[in-house]
Amino acid sequence: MNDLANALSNQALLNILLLSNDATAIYTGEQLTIQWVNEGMLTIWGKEKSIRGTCFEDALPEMKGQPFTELLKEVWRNGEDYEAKNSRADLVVNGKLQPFYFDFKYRAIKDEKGEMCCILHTATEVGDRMRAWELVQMREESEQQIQEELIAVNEEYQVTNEQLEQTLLAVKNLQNQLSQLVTTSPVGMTILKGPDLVIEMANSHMLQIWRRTYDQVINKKLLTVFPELVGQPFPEMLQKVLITGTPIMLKEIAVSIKDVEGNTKNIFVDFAYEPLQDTAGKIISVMATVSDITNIVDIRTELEANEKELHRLNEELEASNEEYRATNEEIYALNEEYTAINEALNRSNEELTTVKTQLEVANKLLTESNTILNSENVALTEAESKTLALFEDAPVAIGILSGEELIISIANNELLKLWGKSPKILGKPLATALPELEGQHFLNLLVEVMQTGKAYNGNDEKVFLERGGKLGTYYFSYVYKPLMRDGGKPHSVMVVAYEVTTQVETRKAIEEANERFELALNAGQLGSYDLDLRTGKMLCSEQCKINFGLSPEDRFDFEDLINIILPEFREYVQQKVDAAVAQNHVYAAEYEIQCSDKSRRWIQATGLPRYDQEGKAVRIIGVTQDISKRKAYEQRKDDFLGIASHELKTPITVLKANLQMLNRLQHKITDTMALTLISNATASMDKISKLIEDLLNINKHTHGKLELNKSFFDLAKLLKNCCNHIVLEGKYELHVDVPNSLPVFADEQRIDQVLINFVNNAVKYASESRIIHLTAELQEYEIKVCVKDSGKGIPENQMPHLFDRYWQANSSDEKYTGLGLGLFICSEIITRHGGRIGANSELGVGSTFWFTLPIVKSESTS
Amino acid sequence: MRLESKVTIRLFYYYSFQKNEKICIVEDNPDISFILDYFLREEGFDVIVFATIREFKKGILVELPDLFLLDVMLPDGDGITLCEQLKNDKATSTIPVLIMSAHASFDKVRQTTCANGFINKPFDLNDMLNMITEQLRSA
Repeated sequence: MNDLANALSNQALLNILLLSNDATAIYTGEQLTIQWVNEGMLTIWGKEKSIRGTCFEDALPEMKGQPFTELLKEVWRNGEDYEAKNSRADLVVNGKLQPFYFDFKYRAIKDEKGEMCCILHTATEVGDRMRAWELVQMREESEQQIQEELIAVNEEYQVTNEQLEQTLLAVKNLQNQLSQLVTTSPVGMTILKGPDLVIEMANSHMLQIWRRTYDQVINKKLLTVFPELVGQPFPEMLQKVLITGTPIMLKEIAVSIKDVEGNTKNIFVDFAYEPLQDTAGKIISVMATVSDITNIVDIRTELEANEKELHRLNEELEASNEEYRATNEEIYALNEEYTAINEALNRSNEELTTVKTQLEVANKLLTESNTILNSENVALTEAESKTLALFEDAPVAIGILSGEELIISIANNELLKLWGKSPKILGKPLATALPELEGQHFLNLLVEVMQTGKAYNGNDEKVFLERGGKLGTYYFSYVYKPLMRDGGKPHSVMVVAYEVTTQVETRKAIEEANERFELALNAGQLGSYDLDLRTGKMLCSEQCKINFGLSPEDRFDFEDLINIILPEFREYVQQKVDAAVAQNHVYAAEYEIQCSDKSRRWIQATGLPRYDQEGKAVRIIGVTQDISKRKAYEQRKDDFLGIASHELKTPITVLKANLQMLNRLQHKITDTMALTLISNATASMDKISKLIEDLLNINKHTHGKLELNKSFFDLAKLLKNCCNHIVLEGKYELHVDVPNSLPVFADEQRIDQVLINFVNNAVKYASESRIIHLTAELQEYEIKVCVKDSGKGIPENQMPHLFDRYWQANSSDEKYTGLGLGLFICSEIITRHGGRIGANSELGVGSTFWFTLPIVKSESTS
Repeated sequence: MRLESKVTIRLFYYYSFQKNEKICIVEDNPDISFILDYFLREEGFDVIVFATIREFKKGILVELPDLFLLDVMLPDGDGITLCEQLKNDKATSTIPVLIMSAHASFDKVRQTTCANGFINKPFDLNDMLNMITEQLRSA
């Protein structure tokens, strides 16, 4: 730099600067004396070269009030540069103050000592740039303005548009509504346009009133369609509405209308003519609404007629009513008269009844006297007609004893036979002829009859008589009749006797038998009854009532019996009675009753039905017994069994578990005998478990506690798998022959129990039979399962007891173990399932045990 | 064969949880509780035995078992009532309960209780084990 400075003189430097395009000026001192300025700057300033050497302020007076002078002075004072861009300066160019824009720099130039030497001012006129920029800005501004205006206009337009749309919509809605109103209105509506009354619109109702189709009327003149209207007032009225704009309403107008065939019809209508205006308010058409009220008018007319008729009838009725009232009064008067007469009649009647009663009493007295007279007459006639010959051959013993000594004057053969005497006794006194009568009361009786004249009747009286030399006891019925002459004292007694020894003895025997029977019944506390099945009445012995906790005088019919039985037994008793009657076998039932004192008793009743000739059951006769004590014993026994089996179970549980654990240790046991012993013990333990299970089961059965856990299962599957244990033993072969599927509704476990029991029995009692057949077949109403062995069979006399409780096959040469409960339990299980159980056997051939189960339709299989 | 497979299952349980499942027995007959204790321990369970309900109520607070095995007839109460109490207690309501019964009216017992299962005395140990594992698996 120094080199350069040295190389160039100051003037040279200034000349170089002169060539610079940039406007340049150099100021010195506080006064900012313009030391040097180039053409560029002069052009900017708009000044001549002459301003060189003058003060800045003087050279550019317009700078006063502008910041530049002060800025330059600052630069001079502080020695710091100042730079600005796009700065505006107002300058007088060509005598006019104008704004200009510059980028400019005031540079503080210092000498070697750091003292201010001069200020170098460079400036670039950026007026073009600024103007261009201003122009752009202005244009943008105007564009924005235009745009804003546009938006405003647009918005206005849009608002207008929306309003228009709304209006349009409203109009459309109105049109729609109108159209809808017109078409759906329940009254007839039409719009008639212009003075020609062209039918512009008509709803279906209107068409109906007009009796025209849509096509027949639309866009046609009203008077063309309905020429009959010419001369009627309506066209004129319509024109009037069109001209004046005043609506017209008319009610119940008669109109005659022709249908298309030309038939005129009179109808009644309600009218309304409404003017319709266009937007300008001009009336262009008329809306006519018409409702056909012909029906209403007709009905009203009819109603009016009816009312009139009703009114007339009412009046007539009123008249009749009055008449009726008059008649009624007459009747009332008559009635009163009648009542009076009636009362009089009643009184006479009562009097008559009294007289009649008196008469009846008199009559009765007369009848009685007559009867007495009659009987006397008969006696007289009898006495008169008696003959000895008659006596002799009479089949009745007859005799006459005469006088106080009772001489046997007459005694027929029959009497002699009765007495066991010969005719020799005739003429002898009775006491002599029949000395055995001494001490018996007959002689005294005869004397009394003789003395009093009153007859004596003896019935079934015991007499000791000697017949054939032997004194015996005989029975007689007899009459001692006094015989009198002329109403005086009796002179003799007629004896008529009839021996009843056989009858009396039979009767006595029956009585005794009955007594013994009664005694036996009473001793056994058996009450007897006789039930009439038709009436439900029951004849009961005293004991019978006592059994039921009743006193002898209490009523006890079948109804009472049912009521005294505990409700849970009622149906059972009724079923038993019905079954006995239906099958003519013994009725037997055990049930519990509740006596009137609330105590309970168990009753056992048996009976046999009796039938009439037509085979209809009429009675059941039988006995009842109070078995409460026996039941209590049974209960105690069952309780005992229950407790015993329960108590036995605990040690067995221990035993079983111990054996099982011992069995698990068998690999540690070397002695084979020990293993055998364990196995034997296990087998025995299983048997004892089974026995106890049976005991417990029997207990459950008697308590009715055997609960069936029924489900649908396949019996065929059960049959195929049930007795694998037998097959496993190897000694027996089980031949199973069953259908593929046998769905049943039953307790699977219990049925399995029955099957195992059957098969085990076959093994146990027919051990010589190697093959056991297990078959099942589907019959009409049931499924039958059979277990057949070929053992030696069961003796016939044992067959009825097979299913009895505690029954054991009693084979003399073999010993069987068990409680004899197996088949009994099987029978209980099957019976509870509603099935049957049984056995067939043939000695030497084998036995078949079978049971059936009813077929039940299952949901799962049907 | 069957027993072995059960043992395998037990072993599986044993190894998968590394902790024996605990069975609580309430049984007054010492012979029965002895053999059950022995059997179930052999099968890999922890067993705790109480002879009376009183003992049970005192002892059970220490640690709840995974299954209860209750006798019906106990000297100071019955297993059915106890079962109901356990099922009504929030702490024990989800623990399976098996009831052992030798009672004649077993069917009645079955109807009136809330136990998860019943074991009829005398029982087969394998059957009992089956029931226990079944209950533990589904619990």
